[in-house]
Amino acid sequence: MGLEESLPAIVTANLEKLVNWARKNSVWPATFGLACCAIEMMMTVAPRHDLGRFGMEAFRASPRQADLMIVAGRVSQKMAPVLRQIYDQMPEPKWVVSMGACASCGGMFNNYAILQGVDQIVPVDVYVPGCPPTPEMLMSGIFQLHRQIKGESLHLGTAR
Amino acid sequence: MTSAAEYDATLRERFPDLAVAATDELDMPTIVVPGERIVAVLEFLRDEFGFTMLMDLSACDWLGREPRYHVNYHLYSMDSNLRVRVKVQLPDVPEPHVPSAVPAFAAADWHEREVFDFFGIVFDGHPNLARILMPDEWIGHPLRKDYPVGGVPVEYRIEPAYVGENVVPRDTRQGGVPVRLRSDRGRLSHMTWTGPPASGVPVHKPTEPEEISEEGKDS
Amino acid sequence: MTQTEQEIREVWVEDETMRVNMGPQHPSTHGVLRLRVEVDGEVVVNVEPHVGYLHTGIEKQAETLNWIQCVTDVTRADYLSNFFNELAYCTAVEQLAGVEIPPRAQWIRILLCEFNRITSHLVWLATGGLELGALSMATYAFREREQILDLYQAITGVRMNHGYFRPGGVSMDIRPDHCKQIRDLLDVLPKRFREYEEFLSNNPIWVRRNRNVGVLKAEDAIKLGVTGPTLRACGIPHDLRKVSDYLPYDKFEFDVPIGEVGDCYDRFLVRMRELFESLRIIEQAIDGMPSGEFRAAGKLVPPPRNRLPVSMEAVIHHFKLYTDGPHVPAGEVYVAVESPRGELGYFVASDGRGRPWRVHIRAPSFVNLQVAPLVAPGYLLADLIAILASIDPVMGDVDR
Repeated sequence: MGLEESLPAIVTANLEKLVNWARKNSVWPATFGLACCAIEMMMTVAPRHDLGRFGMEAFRASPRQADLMIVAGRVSQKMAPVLRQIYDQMPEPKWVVSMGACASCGGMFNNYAILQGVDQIVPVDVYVPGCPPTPEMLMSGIFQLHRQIKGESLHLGTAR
Repeated sequence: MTSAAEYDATLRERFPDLAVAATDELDMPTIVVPGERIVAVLEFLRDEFGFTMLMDLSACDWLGREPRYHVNYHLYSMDSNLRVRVKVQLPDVPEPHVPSAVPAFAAADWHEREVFDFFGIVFDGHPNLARILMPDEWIGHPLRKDYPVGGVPVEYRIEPAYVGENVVPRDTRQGGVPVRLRSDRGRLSHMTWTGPPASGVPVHKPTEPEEISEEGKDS
Repeated sequence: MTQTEQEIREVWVEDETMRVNMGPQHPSTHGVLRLRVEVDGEVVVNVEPHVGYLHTGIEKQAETLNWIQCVTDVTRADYLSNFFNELAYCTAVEQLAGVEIPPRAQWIRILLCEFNRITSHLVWLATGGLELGALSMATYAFREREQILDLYQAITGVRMNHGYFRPGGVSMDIRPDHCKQIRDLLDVLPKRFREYEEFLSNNPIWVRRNRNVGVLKAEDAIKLGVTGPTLRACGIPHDLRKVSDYLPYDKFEFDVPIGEVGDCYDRFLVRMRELFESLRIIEQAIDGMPSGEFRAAGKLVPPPRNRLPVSMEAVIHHFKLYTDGPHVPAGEVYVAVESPRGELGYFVASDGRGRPWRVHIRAPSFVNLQVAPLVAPGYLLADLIAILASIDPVMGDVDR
């Protein structure tokens, strides 16, 4: 990535726009459906609220091929290290959408068994509330993510 | 066999030295037996009365009463569509023991692991008594009444602005004190047990075999 | 080859089985299920399910909520059949309190439960097809499910995790336009379900992948406490709707499909036919819906909202109910209902106060999953996927 540092700004700016456009139009989620929110995530890919319109119907089973981790569902204590491992296995650039109340803050399960928010172990970009969020709400969160991606600058390091 | 009295009579006949108590509860007859002989009783019910399915094996912690733990075995007979509950009452000790029901019903396998996981009741003779739902290295038995619910305290404030170490609320209606609109501290704080059961499930005191009088002698 | 090479081959290569870890994050394990599979080549030698990756503490949480709030807690256990969780819990509370719910409430419950059976089986069909390669099955089945979710939203207000059944009845009445919506659905759904049956039942790939795979014998099923379509596929005609009286199913005419062999194909056929039987029940429910109250009067149930401005007793009752919780008399009951996965049992113990003392969920998926180590050995690794899909476990139910 050293070439961009020596290019004039106009080229870098357009390059940034191009890269962000490409990234946001084909975000590939990793299959990380845990509980009820996973069913609503499946309904978002279903024909009525078709997520394939935005290039996102390709849910990759392998985190190595995925850009986005939609944490859909309640994260239990046993699952937390697994979630972190999957997150670590995803290559940059990667984003995390915390779908639903349980992933965002523990939801209605404020107890010993559930992680009170997935942001305790992974950095989250968009929180989508709901129990479960309807497909429209999830898509709204994904559009928010697209806006965020659009506004990203070409980071030459990884600090975000 | 539909009423508790008949179960009582037949069990006393088959197991003369066993302290048995059977009552008709709201939904099905309940037979209370001592823990040591549970396997024999279950096998007897399975073979003699056709209770071929063990539907559920669960425990309940009645902290504040003695005996503290009730282990409930729910049996079902498909041929006669009858249900019966067999109950074992265990004392308030750190590690209650009861023989495993796996020799009688293979279905008891995971149920007993779950009861061990959540209540710490040890089933002697179980092929693989390990935690099943909690992580393997978890300490404590979560469904016991003296185990806290856990979680984090939740507070809602009116828009405080943090200035250094001080909390300065923007809304001064309450006179400059940060207001907790709602706190879960009372409710989830963090025990589910707020005292012994108010009234409750009667604790069965099985009558000793010598004490039975007329029951079962006639007819 | 030399003697050492011979030894190495015999001891190290040919005797050793490989341990493969499937899950908990896996596209085909129906949720967060971890399987430690021992394979000899491609043939499965042993399967060890490790569960608990979705343990939510629902039973412990239920002890902190009052009797009415608990409905919202338990409805999230088996998240594909929400109404059944609510049904079993509410029936248990009503038995403890000695409350009889009015006929209209019972019929509304039957109606919604049968719709829930359909949506649950549709998800099974979609994900089962997806896992075995019939990808378009997911697209079709979810199309129908969306229409039924619209109906749920109209009746209960939410698509999933409804919290609609309450102790004493249901929380809101159904309206004539809901009935019209249901009748429109009844016009469309049978045709579509027949399409799915044609799509898969005679499809040579589907048959090859499911026939004679994962054969479960009837006596093994009974010993393990297996219930539901998994048991009925072994040839045992056991359905709680026919033998229990938790809801007036005896007033409805429907058949209980059973299989013969107990393989994956039979389980598939049983569930497909249950879709049609559920439609029959729904039609009878809508045709014969009794009029009247949708919830019982009494201590468990809040007063109607329009009584509050005029009646002091109603206000006091409302206040006590929502602060302290309804006081359910002490006792313990076990109520079992026929959920799409099998016998869903709720053991509810009360000590006479406003909160449950103990709620235990006898989860059908928890018990049915014990079948996997029994049935999978001897089949290929790919067949393991088919076996799991046909057992239809929901991890929310297994782990609670």
